[in-house]
Parts: sequence; C-alpha cells; structure tokens
Amino acid sequence: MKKRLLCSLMLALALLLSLGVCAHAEARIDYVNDYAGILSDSERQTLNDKAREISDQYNCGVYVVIVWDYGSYVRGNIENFTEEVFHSYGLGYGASENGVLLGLSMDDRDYDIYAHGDFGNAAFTDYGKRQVADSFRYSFQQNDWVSGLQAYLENCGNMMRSARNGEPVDIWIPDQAPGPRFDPMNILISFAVALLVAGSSVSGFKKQLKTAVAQTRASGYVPQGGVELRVKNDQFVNRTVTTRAIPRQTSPRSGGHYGGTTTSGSHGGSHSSGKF
Amino acid sequence: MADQISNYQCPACTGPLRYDGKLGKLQCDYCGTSFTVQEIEALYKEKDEKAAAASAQAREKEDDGAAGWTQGLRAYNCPSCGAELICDANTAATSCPYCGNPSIIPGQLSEMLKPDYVIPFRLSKEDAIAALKNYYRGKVLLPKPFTRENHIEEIQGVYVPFWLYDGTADAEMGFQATRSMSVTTGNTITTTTEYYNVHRAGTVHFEKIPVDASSKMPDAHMDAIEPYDYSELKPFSTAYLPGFLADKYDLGPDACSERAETRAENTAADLMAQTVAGYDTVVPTNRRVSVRRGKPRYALLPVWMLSTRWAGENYLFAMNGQTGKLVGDLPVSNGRAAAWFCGLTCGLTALFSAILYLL
Repeated sequence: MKKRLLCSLMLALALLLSLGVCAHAEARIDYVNDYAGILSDSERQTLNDKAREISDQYNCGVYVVIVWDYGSYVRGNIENFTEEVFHSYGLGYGASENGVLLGLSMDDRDYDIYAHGDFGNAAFTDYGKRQVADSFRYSFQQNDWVSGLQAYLENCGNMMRSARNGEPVDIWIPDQAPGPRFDPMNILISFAVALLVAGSSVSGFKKQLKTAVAQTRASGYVPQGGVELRVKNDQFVNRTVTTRAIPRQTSPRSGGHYGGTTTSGSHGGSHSSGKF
Repeated sequence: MADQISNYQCPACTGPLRYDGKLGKLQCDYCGTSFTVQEIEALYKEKDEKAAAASAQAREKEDDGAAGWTQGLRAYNCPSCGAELICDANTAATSCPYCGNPSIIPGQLSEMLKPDYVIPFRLSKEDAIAALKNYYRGKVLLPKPFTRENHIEEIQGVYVPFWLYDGTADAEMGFQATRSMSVTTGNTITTTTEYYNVHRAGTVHFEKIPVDASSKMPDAHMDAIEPYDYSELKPFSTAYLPGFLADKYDLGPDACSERAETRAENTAADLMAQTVAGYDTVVPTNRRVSVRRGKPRYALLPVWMLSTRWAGENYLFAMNGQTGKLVGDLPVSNGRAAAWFCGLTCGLTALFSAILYLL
C-alpha cells in the first residue's frame, strides 16, 4: 500500500507539473492513464490498445485518467479536473476535439465522464453518459477495475456507433427537456373523466326522452312588479383571518435515479459525475 | 233527454259546424261557410239554454235517485241521427260515433259549472301529427323500430278543465353568507373571511297558475306543456267546442290548490334567495312561506292528446293546442345507451390521454 501511495504521489507530481508548466505544450497522454496504480502494466496496456482502437474507429478519443485524489491537481471539483486534463493535453480528435474522458479519483471514489466536441457531445448525451456510468459502477464498487474499464470502453464504442448511425442513445429527461410524456396515471385520469362525461351525456340523452315532468316552480306567473321586498337586512357577524405559506415549487432532482449530476462545462463539453 | 244535447248546424245547409283554430271561426263541413263565435252564440242561445235547463232537471232526478244516470255514465241522443251516446259523467263536448257530428252538452258547462275562460285551439290535428313526428327526431337513444313501427292509435283535441289560481306568497328567509378576500404578501397568503346573517322578507304576487282539474289527465303532461299565452284568454262560449272533446272538471278548486301553492312557495323562496347577492357563499338557514289564495278561475285550455302503441306498451303525448309544445315519454334503447356510453368512454379516454400526453 505504501508503495502504491508513493508511486501515486510521484505520478501525481508529474501530472501536476505537466498541467502547470506544459499546459499549452501539446503534450499527449495515453488513452488509459493510471496514476493511482490500480492497474498492472499489462492490464493498462491492453485497455489502452482497446481504447485506441475504438477511438480511431470512430475518430473520437476515448480516455481514462485515474488519480488518487483529483484535489491534488486542481482546485474545485472532479469536473474541473477532467476538463483541465482534456484541454491541457489537447485530447480529442479533429478540429472540434471530439472525445470522452473518464476521470476516477480513488480517494473519495469520485468519477466524472467528460464529453467534448460536436460528435463527442452528440454521441455522449446526458442519458448516454449515465448509461456508461451504470455499466462500470457495479464493477468499481467491487474493486474490479479491469471489468469496469472494459465495460466503459465497450459502452463508449456502443454510444459512438449509435451516434454514427444517426441515432444517439438518448431519452427525454423530465427535469431538462419538457415534452410529451407517457404516464399510465394520465390514462387512469382520462378514463375516470371520460366515464363521468359519458355518463352525464347518456343521462342527458335519456332526459330527452322523458319530457313529461311536473312543474315545481311558477316564476312564469309572477306579473311585472309582482315582487315586493320588505326586509333587506345584511348583518355583519364576525371576521376571521387565516394565513398560510405558499408551498414552494420543487423541481425534480437532476439526475433522477442515476444518482449523478450533469452540468455543462466551461469549454463546451458536458459532464456526468457521481460516486462508485 | 234529447234536449240536453245540441249540435251547431250550418244556417245555410244544416251541415255540422266545427271550430277551426286557424280561421278562428266555426266552419261548415259541407259547404265551407264560416261563422263567428258571436254569430253562432246568438243563433243557438235559446237552444243552449233549453238544453242546459234539461240537464239541470236530469241532475235533480239523479240526485233523487231516479234511473238513467248510472255508474258515472250518462246517455244522450244524438240530435243529428238519434243514436244513443253513452258518455262519461263529465263529458261536455263529444262527437257521435255513428254520424261523426260534433255534439255539445251545454248543461255540463252552465251556471255554476260554466268556465270563466277558454283559450281556443289554434293548432290542428295535422299540426299535432307533424309535431309528434318532429319530436322523434334527434333522439339518439330512441329505438329505431319505434319510429318505424309505431302508429298513432288515437288523437283527440281536448278542452281540458284547468283552475287558474291567483295568490300572494309572504316569504321570510334567513341565510348565512360569507365574503372572502385573499392577499398575497411574500410567501404567505392571508385570507380574510367575513360572516353575515342575511334576512329577507317580501311578498310575491302570482297570477293564473294553471292546475288541471281533470283526474283523467296526467298531471305531469299537463304541467309540462305550459305555458299558455293568456293574452288569448276569451270569455267562455260553447261555440268554441264543436269538433273537440271537452270535460267539465271533476277535481274542485280545493283539491287542486296544493299543487299551485307548492309552486308558489318554491318560487317565492327562489326570488328571495336571488336578492342575496355579492357573497361568495350563501346557505339558507330558515324559510317560512305562507300562501294566500285568491279566487280561482275556471278555464278550458286546448290540448291535443296523442297515443301510440309499440311493443305492447302505450305511449301518451300531449301537445299544447295553442303553442304547439309537445311532451311525452319515449322508450329508451338500452343497447344504444350502452353503445353510446362505451363509445364515448373509449373515445374521450383516447382524446383526454392524447391531450395530457401533449401537455
């Protein structure tokens, strides 16, 4: 453990230096970068090759950066970290720097998926990023890093393939894009209202057939000026004052059952982060 | 006995005269000559008086227990063909079943029994038949075979006896009313509700509330064909009756007054309640209404009674002989009702679901 910590510290120092000193030096890093020492060299290499293959196939970089504590590199949150890594190292493919970066911070078990570029953002929708996160979260919780990262790479490939076919993986997200929504409760409500309306309509139709009805009023036989109002007394009794608070409108939590959050990055990318 | 009954004959050809609602005159069946009510009244005044006197004599005999008036039926002889007419004890105008001539029994509508007013028929039998056919239209739950298969079994123009009640209702009512106002300040809503005790008292006058005075006539039908246009009320004359049936009343003014009084009470209470305005909620707490009845007037009002038969059931319709308002109960097709209910439920569910989906 001590060795791992030491190794991590050294790599972190190297990364820090490269972030701070060589931010614009077009320094490149691998597709899979393990500064926390959770992967063996062969594991990392295998995953790196796989990531390169997928990236080249879709012309959109798929990256992983694993550190012990992102706070050692940047101020702010893990999202700042992934953005900083992505842009400092000039990651991404093509002019719009298409790519997706998974940042893992082992100390607090934080993750962030950062997508960038026209194709990157199109392929990795908010829903898509959450799908990807779901694919690796369980393995990471079991400390099965290789399986989790394999799932990450595989799902990134799926996302990009779908996007390339013109159908990026996406759904309507209630708290972000209001629009048509199927809700079984709506059908129940509609059915109940329809029952009432149909019942009253049929009742009205039946009434059309029963017109021989005895009269209970005689208003037609009151002559003009036939109403004399003798007493018109409106007596005030008391007054009550009640005060109630206006219930605050609460918006649905961003992220819903996925447990993560999604925010727009300052560089035109998008994030999905959470814990594993 | 023959003197109790009279028929109006054409002075020109002695053919039977009938009252024509559209002409507003009596017209001869044969030569088509028409006469005003006043002309016929003057012509038959003496004969009608003799017939009325004969009826009075016969009634006295009935009171003494003499024969000839049995079990609510009375026998007359048709002045045209001599055939024996067996009539209801209340019949005042009828037609001879043998020669078809209209006959009047003036004694049924004279002296104490003489109506104060009559509204003459304005609409004809053809109008009534057309109104009934029109009545079937647009009734979605009416069984189709009913319209196709039912035939009018009987159609009669009847002068129905009515009591017209004047009266005054004294109403005194109490209400509890509230008025609310809400003000929003920051994150709170303050609602101020004021409570009032409201008291109203007043008098409502009524004129000529009609209640049918014949036990043979269905009350609901007679109520439902209201209103009549009282501007056409005319002093009673038997000359309006030929060609129609007419009964004298068999329910006296006291027996019928409750229906008029109930209507007057309800209306007076409604009118008092309508004066309570400017509140958000109004709840009646007490109601005391007393009705003082004036002298009731006796009138004959025109009604076309139509009856049809379908699937072993009789269906009765009544049409206001003055305004043409037709009422009556029709059969309901349960199959059509179920189909409409299911169809509407499904269609509306789909429609509402689609609306909610798009919202």
